[in-house]
Amino acid sequence: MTRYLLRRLALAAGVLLAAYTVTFLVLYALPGDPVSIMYGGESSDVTPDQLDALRAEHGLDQPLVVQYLTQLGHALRGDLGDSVVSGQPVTQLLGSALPPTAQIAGLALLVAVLAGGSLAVVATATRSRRLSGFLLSLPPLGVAIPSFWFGLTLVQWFSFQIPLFPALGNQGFASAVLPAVTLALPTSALIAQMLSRSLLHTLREPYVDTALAKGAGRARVHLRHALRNAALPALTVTGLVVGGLLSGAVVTETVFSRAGIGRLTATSVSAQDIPVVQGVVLVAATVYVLVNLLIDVIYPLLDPRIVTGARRRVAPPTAPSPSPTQAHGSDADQAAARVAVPAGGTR
Amino acid sequence: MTAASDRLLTVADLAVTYRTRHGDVRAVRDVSLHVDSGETVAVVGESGSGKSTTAAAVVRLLAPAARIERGTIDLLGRDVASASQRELQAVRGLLVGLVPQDPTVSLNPVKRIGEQVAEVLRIHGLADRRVAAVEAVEALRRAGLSDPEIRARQYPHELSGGMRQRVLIAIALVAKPRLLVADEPTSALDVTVQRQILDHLDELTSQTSTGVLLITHDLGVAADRADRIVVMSRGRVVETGTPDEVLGAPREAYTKALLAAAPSLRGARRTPVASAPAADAPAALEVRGLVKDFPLPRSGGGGTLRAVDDVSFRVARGRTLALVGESGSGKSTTARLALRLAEPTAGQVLVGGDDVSHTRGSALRALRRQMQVVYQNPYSSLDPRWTVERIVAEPLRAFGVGDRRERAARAAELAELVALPASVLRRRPAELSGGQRQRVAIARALSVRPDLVVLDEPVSALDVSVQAQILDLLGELQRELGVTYLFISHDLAVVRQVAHEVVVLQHGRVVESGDVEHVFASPQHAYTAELLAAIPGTHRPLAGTAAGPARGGER
Repeated sequence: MTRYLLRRLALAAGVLLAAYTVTFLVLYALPGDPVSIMYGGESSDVTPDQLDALRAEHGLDQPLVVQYLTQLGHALRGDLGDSVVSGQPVTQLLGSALPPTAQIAGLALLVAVLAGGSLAVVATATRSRRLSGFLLSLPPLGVAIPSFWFGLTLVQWFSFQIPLFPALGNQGFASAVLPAVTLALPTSALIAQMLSRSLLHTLREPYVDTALAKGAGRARVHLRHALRNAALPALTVTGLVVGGLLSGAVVTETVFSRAGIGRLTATSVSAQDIPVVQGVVLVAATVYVLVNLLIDVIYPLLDPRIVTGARRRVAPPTAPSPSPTQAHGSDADQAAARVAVPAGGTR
Repeated sequence: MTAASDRLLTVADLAVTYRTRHGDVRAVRDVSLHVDSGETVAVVGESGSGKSTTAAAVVRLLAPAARIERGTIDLLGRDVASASQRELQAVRGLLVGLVPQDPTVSLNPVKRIGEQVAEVLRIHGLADRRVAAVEAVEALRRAGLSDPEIRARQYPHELSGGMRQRVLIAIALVAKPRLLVADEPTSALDVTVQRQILDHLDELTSQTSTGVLLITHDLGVAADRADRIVVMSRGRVVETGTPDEVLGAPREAYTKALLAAAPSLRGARRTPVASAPAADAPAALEVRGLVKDFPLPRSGGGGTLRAVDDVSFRVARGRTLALVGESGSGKSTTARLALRLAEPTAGQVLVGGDDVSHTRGSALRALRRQMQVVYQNPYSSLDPRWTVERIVAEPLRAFGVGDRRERAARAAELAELVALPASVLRRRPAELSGGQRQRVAIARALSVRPDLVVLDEPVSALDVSVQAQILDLLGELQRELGVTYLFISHDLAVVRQVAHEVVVLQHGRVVESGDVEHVFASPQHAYTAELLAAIPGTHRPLAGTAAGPARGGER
């Protein structure tokens, strides 16, 4: 397990380095002069001499490799440079923008998992075909609704018509509710879709019949046997949607005028504040990598078949399948093959 | 036993219908049968005969599309057919246990073995958590698992198929039910394991005078194990009686046909022995000292697993050599090495006398044209979205043989060769029966006129009567085209019918080889003898097996 974790951490570091390198290349090495983009633009009140001085100051007159290595060295020491617009250190900007975004993103994730999960469970457990059909039609709708519209509608209803929550700002928990719900909508729809599909599939597995044959009730079969097996693909998707939460924060924080990573992204991109943009990308990549690392750690806890460290095998080893393509012919596949055989009558 | 003649189960006039898009399918009609305590009743029939539906109805675990139209299922005075969900929950596990068909997928993969056995006792409130755990271990011990304490803490994927079936038997019997429903309990297992499991099941149920409803497609299993046999066909019971009555003197034509199609160790062989080839002619396929090692995970102690260990054999042109062995014996890996689909660790592969062990690139691709494969499962080895014509002509396209029109003509020719109607060419695999699909797979393999066809368990997924037809077809094709077969099978009865020579593999090693008649008549190695003895139907002779193969319509 330790070995597995160390390997995964090394991989995570690799991913971060790659993210940093790609952003660097995109922002600095592509055609266009960063300094004139940053300071010049249309307003030409900066003289060429001043631009040269700025280049020298930022080290931009150096060869690209030197620039890259210098910046990387600074980044490794925790110095991501200064904002071109405000002159504040990028780390400081990110540090103040992160907590409010973490608040709504965390809350959104919680809401999404609970809402999406219970929708999937109820939709697959109910005996009413109508209810199940209705519930299963919600996730596609949830994905289709544009979040800016949904956010504005929520503000209209729950701030103006029924003044429950503040419409704008960063003040306290109450102000985080509506943005979190807005952010949770597409995420919960994805989780619900994935989990209900997976549950429907799992409920047709032969081991569910085995459980029923033991005399287990529907609730027991659903929650104790099917859900844990069905949760695995949904968990993978959850790891992926965390990235979606960060990009969703751009829209949501703009709609609700909240400070946070999303707003910082929006403003720094429009102001072409390159160091800040690079910092934001790095933060997003870090979050993404950490969440997926966490999910990789959780996975073997849910499914013992996924081996991370020591592989114990007590049964006499059979010839392993060296590749999936062998599956047709391998002896171990006989069993699987037989399941499909009875066409009518048998299930 | 005092309860020896208790009536446990009475099924009367049962009718089950499946709703499909093409209208209702009446899977079971007017089925009546009964099981007394201490008695084993076997329900035999081919796929689609309704035998599994009958079993599922007894525990009310029918597919959602199925509905019980009529009839009663009386289980110790309770009508299961009309019981509520709550009543069913009280009956299942406690009064009737179920041993499902495929042990490899019938255990919850994320729960420990002990927990899954103990769950039955917990559900029915027969024991608290601690006692249930102890009793689960005891049930695993009774089911014949070694080290039950260790097994109880393991997960299903850590156990072999046979061990998992023992776990399922423990689950079915832990609450000491009066009736056991076993739906093809051993059809996914090797013959020797099958015998052990069935022996053990006999022992357990006779001790407790549990009644057994045994569903099987295998007449041999029914003959060996049942007190009474119920033969089903197309949803109806066609014949009932003791094994001696049903198998010794079958009254119904269907039973006779089923018996005739069953491969057996006695009775006529299908393939007349071809004239012995010239000894100096190069073999169609020869392998010398093949070795294949698979690396084991480093974390599991590392090392390698030797799947194939110094295997040598030669197949003469136009002859059939069978590779026989149980799961894990290395027979499929050997075939993959011979086909150059896997790289041998050591050894040589010779095709037509040429060493092709290290052939690569375009030469290897050309070699593929000489060697084609027919896989075990015709349900998964054909692309469901392609028409049969496209499937059959694919190797021709891959090798750039002919133009579109010529390929279509060749496809039609091949369909005729494998006795498929021309109309099949425009259809898709889903519209064909298992036997027809396997014919398509054979036609595909033959399309590029290969010298060698590797048949990897080509009939083990098919019903016996269809099996007989496919084996006949393979024999005819060999006589007509002079093609060489490498026939991989775990079924010795089938091997005896089609092969000229046999190679018996155990743990990757050749333990015995030679002429089929010779090896089967006087096996020299203990393992071969064990394999032969484990074949069901050897305890009680099947009548009618000397008759010719069934010619009935293929389903």
